[in-house]
This record gives sequence, structure tokens and C-alpha cells, in this order.
Amino acid sequence: MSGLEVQQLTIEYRVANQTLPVVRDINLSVGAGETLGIVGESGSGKSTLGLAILRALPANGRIKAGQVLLDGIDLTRVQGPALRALWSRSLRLVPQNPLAALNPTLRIGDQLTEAIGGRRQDAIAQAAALLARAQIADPMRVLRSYPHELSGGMQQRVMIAMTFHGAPRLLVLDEPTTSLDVTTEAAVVDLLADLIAERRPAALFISHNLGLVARIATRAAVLYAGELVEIAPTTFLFQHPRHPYTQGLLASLPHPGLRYNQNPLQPIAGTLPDPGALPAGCIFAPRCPLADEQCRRERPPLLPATPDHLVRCHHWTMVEPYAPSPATPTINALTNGQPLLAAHRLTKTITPRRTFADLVRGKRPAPMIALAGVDLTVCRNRTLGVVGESGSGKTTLARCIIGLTPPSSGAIELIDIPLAPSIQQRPPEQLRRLQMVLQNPQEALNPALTVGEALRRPLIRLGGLDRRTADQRIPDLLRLVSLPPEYANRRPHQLSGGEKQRVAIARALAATPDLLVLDEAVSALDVSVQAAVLNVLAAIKERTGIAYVFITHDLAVVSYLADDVVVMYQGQIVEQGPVAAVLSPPLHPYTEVLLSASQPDGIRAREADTAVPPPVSGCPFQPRCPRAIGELCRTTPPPWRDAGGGHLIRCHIPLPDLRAAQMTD
Amino acid sequence: MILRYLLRRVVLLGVTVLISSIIIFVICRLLPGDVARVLLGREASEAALTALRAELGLDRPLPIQYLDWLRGFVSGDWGVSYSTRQLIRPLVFERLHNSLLLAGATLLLAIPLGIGLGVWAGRRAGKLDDTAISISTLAVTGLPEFVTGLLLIDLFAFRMRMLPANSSLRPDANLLEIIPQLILPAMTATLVLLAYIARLTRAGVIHELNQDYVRTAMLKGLAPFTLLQRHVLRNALLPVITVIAISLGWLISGLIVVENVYNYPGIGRLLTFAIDRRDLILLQAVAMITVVIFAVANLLADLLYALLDPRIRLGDETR
Ligand SMILES: Nc1ncnc2c1ncn2[C@@H]1O[C@H](COP(=O)(O)OP(=O)(O)O)[C@@H](O)[C@H]1O
Ligand SMILES: [Mg+2]
Repeated sequence: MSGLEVQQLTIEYRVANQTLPVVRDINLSVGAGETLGIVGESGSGKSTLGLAILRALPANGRIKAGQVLLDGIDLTRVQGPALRALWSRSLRLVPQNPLAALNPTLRIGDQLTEAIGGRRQDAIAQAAALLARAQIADPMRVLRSYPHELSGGMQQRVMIAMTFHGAPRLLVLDEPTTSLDVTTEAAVVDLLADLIAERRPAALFISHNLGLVARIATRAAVLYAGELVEIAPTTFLFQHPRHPYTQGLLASLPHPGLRYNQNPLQPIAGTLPDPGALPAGCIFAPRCPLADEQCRRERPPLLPATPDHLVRCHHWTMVEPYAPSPATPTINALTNGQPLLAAHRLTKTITPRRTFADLVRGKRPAPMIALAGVDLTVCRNRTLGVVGESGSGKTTLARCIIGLTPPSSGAIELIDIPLAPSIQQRPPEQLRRLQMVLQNPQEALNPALTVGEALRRPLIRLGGLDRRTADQRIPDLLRLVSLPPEYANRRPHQLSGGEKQRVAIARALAATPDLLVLDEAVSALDVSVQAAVLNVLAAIKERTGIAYVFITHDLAVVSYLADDVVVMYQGQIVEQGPVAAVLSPPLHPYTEVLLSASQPDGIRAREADTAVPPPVSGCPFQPRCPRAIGELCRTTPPPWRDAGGGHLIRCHIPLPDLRAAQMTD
Repeated sequence: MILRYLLRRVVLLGVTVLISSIIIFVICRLLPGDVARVLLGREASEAALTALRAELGLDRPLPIQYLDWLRGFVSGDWGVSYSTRQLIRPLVFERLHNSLLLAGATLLLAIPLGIGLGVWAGRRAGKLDDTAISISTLAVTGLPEFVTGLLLIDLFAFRMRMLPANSSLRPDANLLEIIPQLILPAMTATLVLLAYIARLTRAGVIHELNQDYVRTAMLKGLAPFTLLQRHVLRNALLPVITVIAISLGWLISGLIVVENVYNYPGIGRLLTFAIDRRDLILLQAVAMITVVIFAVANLLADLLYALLDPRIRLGDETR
């Protein structure tokens, strides 16, 4: 039989002197040319399953039981040279981080030809063809490059090209786009779908992004704590999930149209069980709203809800269809806006350090313009979303506001008080009023301090409290971010990622700031945890009147949480205004490209041609703009166009034309 | 264009050497003991001592003496040894030649052995053989050179009578005679170096084996040996190579104990000889050449690393 058939697969890791069965009793089948999505929170065993199927588990991992049949051959029994032959011929992996997956000291050409094999001349020709097929414009140059000389998207295209040489029979895609920008992600997913349809391997698409899975996979399996809890065609799965866990994942996802104040997200309570201490009965029971005695006693079998929809739940008939009522897009205009912070003509030029190559060639690296004249107003009790691809200047903007990076020119003021450019020069009162939360809570929390100690410091230093009053405030702070007061005694390593991020937020709030800058603060979190943190932020804002600058690449999150939004491209704001006005429908072509990245046939940015220097005088987005109108865009800086209600668009295309484009598409 | 970079590094090297030369000069003048007294002996008259000091220029102000010496050193006039009355430059270069021979022999032993052991241990990390290799190399390195040296002499020279205990090369000896005399000192120096190379290699191999790109390469179906040498070692050995280049400086001029144990006529032994005899001018010359060798070895190490790692050579935007 053709395709992949996994039977009763159980995988364990040896850690210290213990064996942890992290994946248990998995049954699934994927036909040739079919893509099966695998979703689940991080730690649920997705990568472990994918690697085990490829026979590429790390050294401490082992297939304990079960079979992996590929075209009828049991892969679990193949060893040594036979396994290597299978690897080179049929089994392929596209991993999450392409830079790490490529050898840093070998040229791309060498790495590709090594996979292809055969005579070098033929292999090179074939490699160039593969790169061209993966939509790389200049294959010969890329073949001569080292991995670090390519962008993330290019690196992943190289990995994909490497994956599709010969005739792959089994393809595991382990979060292949997680490290990419949304625009690049869209193009890479299109490419993958295309290649799978063309070469017809059995494909597993592993992702925590349910939207992506729905786009590329015909069926999807939901993994929870190492068990398959539901498997169904994606349309069924996402519209009528039968497992409370799947339901919970969907209800945590910021769909377009959901708003924090109208129909908030419903995060799943609790956390994934420790693989060393799994609950008896149903593994999801401790977090399940439907759990009863039976669930805690008996492990449910996979039950057929329909012939091709299996679900591991005693009470699947009680799970309601998932149908959030979309929020009515009300433009929450700037009428009640009281300016809190204003930035004027901020610029920041960063001169990179000279590399060895620069030294050798005797040239200086070109200075990088991170901010090119940004004007910005943040209002009291409002959330300003800042969106844009990586490298668009979002983080630099945040750092300038906080004072971590002094701007090259321009000024920032807080309710008419000019702020010193650097944090060292700002008085404690100003420090108190502006706080920041970073993407990675691991780096932000001192591992030696308990949560209570971490919170006490800002209470005393910035809040001006004495130690006793400060200690009395700590439980309130923890409750504010929905953590139990007992957490004050924990240390960072005893917290999950979402809990750490909530502690980081609590610490920032300890100083009772007027403005909190959150730089990709929820991006690394699982959807259910992200939903919880977003709701916490929304609740705090309602209660305290705080304002947020919320930086993210995720437009769904912005449309859920933000009141206003600015869209950045290459250090400039290209569009700004109330979130409903900017996002539905998008008018600026760049905003449009960002938004339609999540749609299967959305409009895509052109791949910028690196050989042509970007326009110095015209619109920065012109080289990639799908709607550019010609010479004007290249030569003249676009004007600001006022769409009313504080909605501004910087584009050469007249507003009526932009609106008309949205009507016809 | 690489010349530009080289030029900068060479200028930097020159400054380092210049500063070292001042330190060397000052320290030599601060050493206890009077050169004239050493040369003429205890019974010499005050008049004779003064005359000798004047002859050697030791009565002039220190800065003048320094500049004089430096000018001489740079122009190749290194002076005449106080104690042996030989021209210093040929003497130093002869010893340098011998030291190079010994360093070469040592590297010939230490590199394959150290890397071999390191790779073995790294691939078998945590297993019994890994532990055995780590403990034994560490133990050997922990022993002082004169102990290992004497043990080796006892074993190979006295008990087994395979190799000579004394390595004081005859001046006109040909290579065939020299080789047996090189083996024991080279072995002793190797034992010092071995654990460094092995441990660094082991750490590198373990680190690289855990990288994603090794899994990518493995999934290409490469044979284990190809995987190891083309992917793992290529990256794991980068830091090892630089350490070897740096240790070259130590091997040429730092083998003082080893050369003395075996009576080997290298730079290290010349240094102890000069100190022994209060032969300041010889001491200065030897110290200077040592500094130059160390500086050059360091430059070599940096260049090598930069040339071998494309991320440094071509600039890495991700860092
Ligand atoms: N090499 C390993 N050794 C021990 N435990 C591991 C190893 N890799 C992953 N795990 C554990 O196995 C479980 C599943 O991990 P993983 O497959 O990476 O999940 P996912 O890909 O869904 O995030 C987690 O509890 C994780 O901590
Ligand atoms: Mg994973």
C-alpha cells in the first residue's frame, strides 16, 4: 500500500535514570500526496513524533513499540546502510530553524550536491534547477553562498529545495515557517503546497498555527500530552471540533473579528501535564470543563464521531460547534483620546560593526536606517498596536521610547514634558511612568530571585514604598496577572513560559506606569497561554487606565487587542489610525499584503530583487509593492492621505482607487 | 586588500613588541647582581670594574642604553654575549632552529593523538571510554614536566635502552642522528599539550553533534565517516586549530623545563643559561625573540580562524 501508516507508535526519552513515554499509542495514516496537519501546544510531542517517523530521534530517544509503515516497509526495523539508503532516497525533513539546519562552514552548493549525489556537474545543474523551482531568483549566486549570507526566507527555500530532490516518499515539515515573517511564511507555504501536489510524498505538517494547518492540510490530528485526541478533515475539525481540547485551542485563537471588549478569547485553564506524572483516566480531564468521574477513571478510546472523524473523549457529543459571533467593527475613534506620549521626527541610524570581510576589503559597512522620521502619539487608556515585518524598526522604536537606545535625532515627550534620550538621564519618576516587557521572559527574570523578590524591587525603588507595604502589595500584583499569591515564593525555573511572562508583566506594573511597552510579549507563547495573557492585559487596562504600545507581527492579535495601529515599513510609518479603519478593509498595499498573508489566495508582495538598490527618494515599499503605479512610486516620496477619523495612509495611489481595489478583489 | 588588514595587524604587533621590549629592558636592569662583578669575579678591583662598566656602556643613562640596544636589535646587531664572548645573533638563531625542530616533532605527535582521542571521547560522551580518556589525559597533564620527563627517561632510556637520555645535539649532527634525540623531549611536551587538544576537540565534537545541521546531513544518508569529517569535524576543529597555533609560541620558547631535563639546546635552555650567568645582553635578546614568537603565533591563530570560518571571513549579519 502506498503512503504512511503509523500503528500504535510509542516513543520514550531516557532522562537521568527515568524513561518518559512522551508519545503514546499513535495511529494515523497519510496517503501519498496527502498532507496531514499535526497541531498541539509546545511540549505535546509533535517534533518527537515527526523525528521518530523519520528514524531521526536524538540519542536518548527510542521507539518503544509500534510500527511505521512507508509504502508497506516497516521503518522501525531498518538499520545501518539500509536506513541510510532510505534516508537519502525517500525520507525528508524541513525543520523549524533553517539557519541551524545548514552547515555554517559549507557553501550551499556543496550541501545541496552532497544530498543529490552522482557526478558533480550533474548534481550542480540539478541543484540550480531545484533552487529555481523553489523560486530563488539567482540560483548560481545562492549556490556559491554560505548560509549566513542568505535571509531566513532564502535559507528555508534552500532547505525546501534540498528536500525535494529525487523522489521523496515521506516529508516531515516541523514548524517550517515559524521563524519567518508572515509575508515570507505565506509564500513558503504556497511553495510547499505546490511541491507536495507535484511530487506526491506523504507529508506531515507540524505547526502550532491552526490557521496555517487549515490552509495546507486536508486532514489534521490534534496531539495532547503525547496522545492523539482528535483527527478529522480540517474543515470539520475547525468548524465542529469534538474534543474539548480542540475546542479550547480554537477559542483561544484571536480570529479576525474578535475583540477583547465584545467577545473575549477563552483560554484553556491549567497547563500540560508533566510527562513523568500523567493523570489516570483521560489525560485532559484536569483541564477539561466537561470532566466527570468517568473521565478521571477511564482513559477514553478513539471514538468515531463520523467515519473519518475520530475523537478521544467520553463526552464528545456534548461539545458545542465552534461559532464565535464576529464583533461589529466599531471604529473607536480618537474622540476620547488624551495624548500621553508623543514622538516627533524620531530617527535612528545604526552603524554595524565592521566585519572581517569589510576589513579585508577596506570598506565601511553601510549605516542602517532603523527609524526614518517617525511621528507617533499614544493616548491614555488606549492600546497602540505596532505592526510590520522583522527589521521594520518596531523594536528600535520601543527602545527609543523607553530610553534604552537614544534616537539619532527627534524628541519624545510625556504629557508635554520632554524626555531625556537615554534612560540613565531620566529621573525615577519618568522611569516609573514608562515600563517595558520583552519577548523572552527567560532573559528578563533573574533566576536567583523569587517572584516576590522580583516584584518587591520596583515597588520600593520606583513606587517609593517601604518594605512592609511593598510586601503587602505583592499578592495584589500577582492577582492582577491572574496568578495565585503563593507564586511569590517560586523561582523562575518553577514557572512555565506563560507564567514567566505574566510575572514580567506584573513586575512592569508594580511601578504603576502610565504606559507599558510590550515588544512581541506574547509571540513566543502557545495560543492558550497567549489568550490568557491578552485577556489579563485587557482587564488591567480597563481597571487601571493604563496605555499600551503593543508591538507584534501578528495582525490577528492586534485586531483583537489594539484600539489604534501603526504599520511600519523600513523605519517609516506607512499607515496609521483606529484599528478597525486600518485593518478592515486594508487600504495601504503593504497592510493589505500583511493581512492577506494568512489567506490561501491573498495578494502577495513581490520578492524584492536584491540586485536593484532600493529607491533612495521614492516609496520604500515600491520594489515589493503589488500595486505600484510606476515611475512616480520610484522617484517621489508618497504623500500622506487622510481617510478621516485619524486614519492616515502614505501612498501615491489615490484613496478612491485604493478603496475600489478592495471592492473588486 | 587583505594586505590592509594584515598591515593593521602587523602594526599592532609592532606596538606590542615595542612595549614588551621596554618591560624586558627594565626588568633586566632590575635583576639583582652586577654584570661587571659577575664577569670579573669576586677579587676584581674597583678600578677594573669601573673600566669594564664603561666599556660595556653600563654607566650611561638608562634611556640612552635602551635606545642603543633597541637600535642594535632592530638593525640585526644583537651584540656579543658577556659570558661566552660569542656573537649573539647566530647563537640565538641556531637555538631557534633546534626549538623549531622540537616544536615540529611535538605537534606531529600531539595533533593526531589529541584530536583522535578527543573525537573518540566526544562521540562516546558519557560512556566508559570517554571517562577513561578524560581522566588519563588530565592526569598526565597534571604531572609536572620534570616528573613525566624523568619517568620517560627511566622507562625508555634506562630500562628499555631504546632512546638516549641526553638530547644535547652534536653541532654537525644530521637529521638521522637527531631524530632519536628528539623523541623523548617531544613526548614530554606532547603529554602537556595532549589534554588541551583532546578536551577542546571533545567539547567541540559534542557541541556540533547536537546541532541541527548534523541531523540534516545524517538524513542525507551520508556514511558515518563522511558525516564526521565533512560536517562535525569541520566545525568542531575550528577552535582547536587556533589553540594549536597559539601553543606554537609556547612550544618554541616555553619548553624551559623540558629542554633542561633533556639538556636540549633550544631557546628555553639558552634563557636559563643567560639568567644563570647574569648575561643581560643575551637574556634581553632571548626574551625579545620569545615575545616576537608569541605575538606572531597569536596573529597566526587569529588569521587562521578568520580564514577558516566563513561567518567571520564574510561577516555574519545574524550576530
Ligand atoms: N531530547 C529529549 N530528551 C528528553 N526529553 C525530551 C527531548 N526532546 C523533547 N523532550 C520532551 O518530550 C516532550 C515532547 O517534546 P516535543 O516533541 O519537542 O514537543 P513539541 O514539538 O510538540 O513542542 C516534552 O515534554 C519535551 O520536554
Ligand atoms: Mg517542536
